Amino acid sequence: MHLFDSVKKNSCAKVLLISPDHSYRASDLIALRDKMSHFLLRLKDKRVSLKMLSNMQLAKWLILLDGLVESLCIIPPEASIKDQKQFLAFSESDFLLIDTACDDSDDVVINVLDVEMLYSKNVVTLEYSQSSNWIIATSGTTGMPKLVQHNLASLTKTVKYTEHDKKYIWGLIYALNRFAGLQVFLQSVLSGHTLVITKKEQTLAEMVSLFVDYSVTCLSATSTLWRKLLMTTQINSLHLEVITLGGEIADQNILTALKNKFPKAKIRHIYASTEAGAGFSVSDVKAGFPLKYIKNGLSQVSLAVSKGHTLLIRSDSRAERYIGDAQFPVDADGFLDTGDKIMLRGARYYFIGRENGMINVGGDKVQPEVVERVLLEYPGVILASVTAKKSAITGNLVQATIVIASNISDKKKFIQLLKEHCKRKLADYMVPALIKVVDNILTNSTGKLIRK
Amino acid sequence: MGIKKLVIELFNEALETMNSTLKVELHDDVVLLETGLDSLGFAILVARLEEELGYDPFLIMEEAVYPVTLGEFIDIYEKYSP
Repeated sequence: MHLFDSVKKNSCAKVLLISPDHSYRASDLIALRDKMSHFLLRLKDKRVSLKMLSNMQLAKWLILLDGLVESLCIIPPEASIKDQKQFLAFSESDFLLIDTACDDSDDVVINVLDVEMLYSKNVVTLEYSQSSNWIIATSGTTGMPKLVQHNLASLTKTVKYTEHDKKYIWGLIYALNRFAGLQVFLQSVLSGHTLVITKKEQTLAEMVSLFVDYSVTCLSATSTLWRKLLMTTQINSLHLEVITLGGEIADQNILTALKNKFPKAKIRHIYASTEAGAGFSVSDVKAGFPLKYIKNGLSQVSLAVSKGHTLLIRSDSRAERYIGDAQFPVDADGFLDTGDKIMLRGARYYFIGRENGMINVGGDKVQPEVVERVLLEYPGVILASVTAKKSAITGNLVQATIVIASNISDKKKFIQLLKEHCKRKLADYMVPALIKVVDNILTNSTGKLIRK
Repeated sequence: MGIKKLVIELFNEALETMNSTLKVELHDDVVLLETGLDSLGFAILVARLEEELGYDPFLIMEEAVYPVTLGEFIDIYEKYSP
């Protein structure tokens, strides 16, 4: 089964993809495929890389190529030329499709905008018989992102096909070239829903306005993006039925805030990673996950805890491997170490933070996410980012950068009270030594908070 | 505000943060290790002073100098003031 099969299942008039500039019905996508059939024939059974600035272009080409090509390697548009060369080499790509003009007069690099200008009267029948490999880049916090090999089956293990009847309209706020964006895209296309695709250049307020214009009912975003979305005025005009959180820890503050804002919506947070594939979801609007997930396991996933208190996951939907020379972190029993630290409290496990993000303050260890959660609990704090500050005395200290509500006039007093709040909740070495108020904290291409 | 006044103000602030009770009155001859401020408290004080003054003399200095008294600590800040 491939993406085009799903497209053909819809009535011709069903709008599947919408962006500010274009919209595509099922019939439009079929017509596009026919128009370019001669070009597509050149790519049949080949290995193709895609590096596209436009989410919409990428969406179209994934649909056109899945099942036709041997592999699809999705290169992030912000990748440097050096990284791009590495990706092409590792994925052994025969062609690179781009959507912008380029200087290279290369047989390998093809601008899809040029291709679309061509017109073929004769339509060639194309055989979509491959089970294409999907090669996706991970976020990669250190050095070059790694390439992870999936296929449509492993990517779509948790797509709920039963929701085909419902007229869901999905909003895509993530970059499509990343795992989270692809999950939303696949959920929408495979279920015959409509996907409203934002453009990277849009501000968050513009994206929400677009969603309002097209009556988006389902939205997936990171906790940080959700906090920012709740700060827009446009969010009040959005009537959401399905809310998904992923990519970052879903703390109780944001879960409760979303429940209060959208009391009728189904809210779930999803634990997944590019390597692990789709892991599991939690729908009780509580942070963390139940102990029984580890004790009893889940239908397609087994969970365990490592000696270092990180979550181990063994999933049917996990990636096969890294492409290139990086070692895939799977142990002898097939468990993948996620690097996410968890802690048991009662009958519930809570996420503490990334193992590799820990701050060492004079020998005492601090997880930035724990401090951020405490800061976010204090009324008036909207976003918080905790980082290490170098200290000649203790090695590091904890410092925080925060965005606060606009109606707070005495910032100095606010910071003093905030520090006192932290002192009550945290060990002394965890209390931020410095707190700086800013207008905004940036998120990266996957919607995750950037800690600088 | 003079450097001396700022150091004393932030010193008190650091002591409050540490929940230490101030053991002695803060004057030039006070021995730092006897004030009740531990290494974390010192680190925070130096960080806060950098925030207010814009420099950290312990990072600027080429050879490490360890002040014993509060007066010596203040001297270091005055010496390395840009």
